[in-house]
Order: sequence, then C-alpha cells, then structure tokens
Amino acid sequence: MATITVPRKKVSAFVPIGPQALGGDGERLRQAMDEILRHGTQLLDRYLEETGGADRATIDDSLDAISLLPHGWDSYSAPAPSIVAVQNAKGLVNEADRFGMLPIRVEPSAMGGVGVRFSNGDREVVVEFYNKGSAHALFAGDVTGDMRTEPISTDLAGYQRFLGEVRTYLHDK
Amino acid sequence: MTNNPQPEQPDQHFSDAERLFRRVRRENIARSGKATFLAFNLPDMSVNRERESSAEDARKGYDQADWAVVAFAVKDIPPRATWVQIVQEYQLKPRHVPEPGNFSHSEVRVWRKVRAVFTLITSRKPEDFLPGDPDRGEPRDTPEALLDPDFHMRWRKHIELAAKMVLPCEPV
Repeated sequence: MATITVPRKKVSAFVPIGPQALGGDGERLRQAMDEILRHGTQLLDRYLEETGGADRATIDDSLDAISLLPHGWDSYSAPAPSIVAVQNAKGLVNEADRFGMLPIRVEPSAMGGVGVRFSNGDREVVVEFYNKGSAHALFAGDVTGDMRTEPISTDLAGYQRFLGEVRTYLHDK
Repeated sequence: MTNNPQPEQPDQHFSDAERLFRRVRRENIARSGKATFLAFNLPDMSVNRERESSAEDARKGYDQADWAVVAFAVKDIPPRATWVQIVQEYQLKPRHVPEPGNFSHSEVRVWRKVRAVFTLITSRKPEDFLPGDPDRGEPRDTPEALLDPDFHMRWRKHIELAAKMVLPCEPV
C-alpha cells in the first residue's frame, strides 16, 4: 500500500490501481482518485516520482552517463560536468544510501556540474555540485514558497551533516 | 542605387508579455512534466524571443524525443527591476542578441551593484560582444567574483516555477 499526500489530508490507495482494487477498501480508493482528479495530474506525478524514485543502480548509471556529457550538452553553452563534480555527487549518493535516503534523481546542471534531488511531498532539497569542487543546496517548499540555500562541505562529515538537515526538512523529524 | 534590403537590426524592446523559449534536455524534465531549475543558468542564459520566432523554431533540428521547449514571460525575469538579495543588489534584463541563422536569439543578462555601479556579470571579453551590443562597454566582472549561488539558485527556482512546458518531449 502506498500513501498519497495531498494538501492538508492523507489518503491511502492500493497500487496498482485497477478495477480489482475496488474491493474491501474501495471507498478509500475512490477518495484517493477524487483527490487526484481534483488536484490534476501534478499530484499524481508527484506521487509517481516519490514511489517510483530511482534505485541505486539507476542513480549510478545516470551519474556515469552525466560524466560523459560534452561541453554544450544543453544545446547552448553548458560546460561538461567535471570529474570532481561527478565524484562529489557519487560521494553524497554513497552516504545517502548508507542513511537509507537515496535521492529521487540526479541530473546535469546548466551551470556546470551535477544536481542531486531529494523530495518528499511538496518539499525538495537540491544540491548542486559545481565543476570547480564547491557545492550549494536549495531547500524549497512549493506550497509555501519558502526557500533557503546553504553551502555544503564536500567531505564525509559535511555530507552527514547535510543529510541530517535534509531528513529534518523533508520529514519534520 | 541598390535595392538590397537593410539587414535586420536587434531590437532591445521587450514587452512584459513576450515569451522567451528555451530548449530543455529530457534529463532536466521532472516526471511532473516541468523543467527543473537545473535546466536554467546565469549569466547570459540563451533563449529565443517570441516576437521573432515560435516554440517550434526553438526545437527545429533537434530530436523531439530528447528535447522539449519551455517558455516564460519577460515579466517573470523580472525585467528592468532590481532584485535585492541580502546585502547584494542585482538587476536582470533580456537582450536581443541575434546569431547566424537564429535572429530571435536573446539572452538573460545580470548585473550586480558594486560600489554604487551596476556591473555586468559575464565571462565574456568586450570583443565577444557584437558591434552595437548595448552592454559591450559596460563595467564587467566574472561570475566567480560576483554571482552568489544563493542568488542564482533562488532565481533559477523562480524561473522553474514560472516556466510552462510548451513542447514536451515526444514519446519514444
């Protein structure tokens, strides 16, 4: 069973959703479907992104693919991701995996470097590893519109401190 | 007397409602269908202006399975306004910078106030600007010196929220 989080309310639904699921818990499923219809596909997409988040192998493969991108990979003038940016991203993913909180995606950054994204509901944390070795994270809530950023130390202690902040921000723990 | 038409000149007037198109690679599109802020950059972010082109033009020659086009309005930049960031003051403007084969090419440029003077943030040298570019003679400094990650991350997230997907990647 998975949980669909909607503004001010949590409802539960069976996955995959199909006619056979309209059994003993059909009313709750109907509630979930109503919420999805009311809030549009954005809610469903977010749900899919949370529950369909990448596994470790997918993230590692993505980072390897990102490391091969050439200069101008965005069709404009984005610098190729540097080895140090990719290695730093891998270091964070390693530590995040150990913490049991893998990111939902990694992607190249048009600023030059690699982005690693953690998300839960309407909150996200994105850390950007830049080509020259520094890193900066954005904490953002899409509903409240609140944003803050902070520099991240690209060493083990820095990653552990950062992941603790991510856990607190995303899960209010 | 010749009948040769005069070459078109860049026009630096942008209305607030004019849209700016940007190609986005599939890897920078979330499952929500929106481009993430990692698809945007500062300074000198390239876009195509709507007055001279269409969204389809922005994707011409690119694989529709791997490339999408998003749009945001000039008023979303925000144009010709300052953006006060902690104790730093920034200004952003769209500029029409035609390229060979792409007359609509434009850029989002950014300035930061340094000792009461707005200084263009760019890695370019004066000779990298077209003759007649209004910013060719501006005081300038590099992104490393003037562009604070706190500012560019917030601004790019702001553009992420404002941008609309106009041409999604086609299903493979």
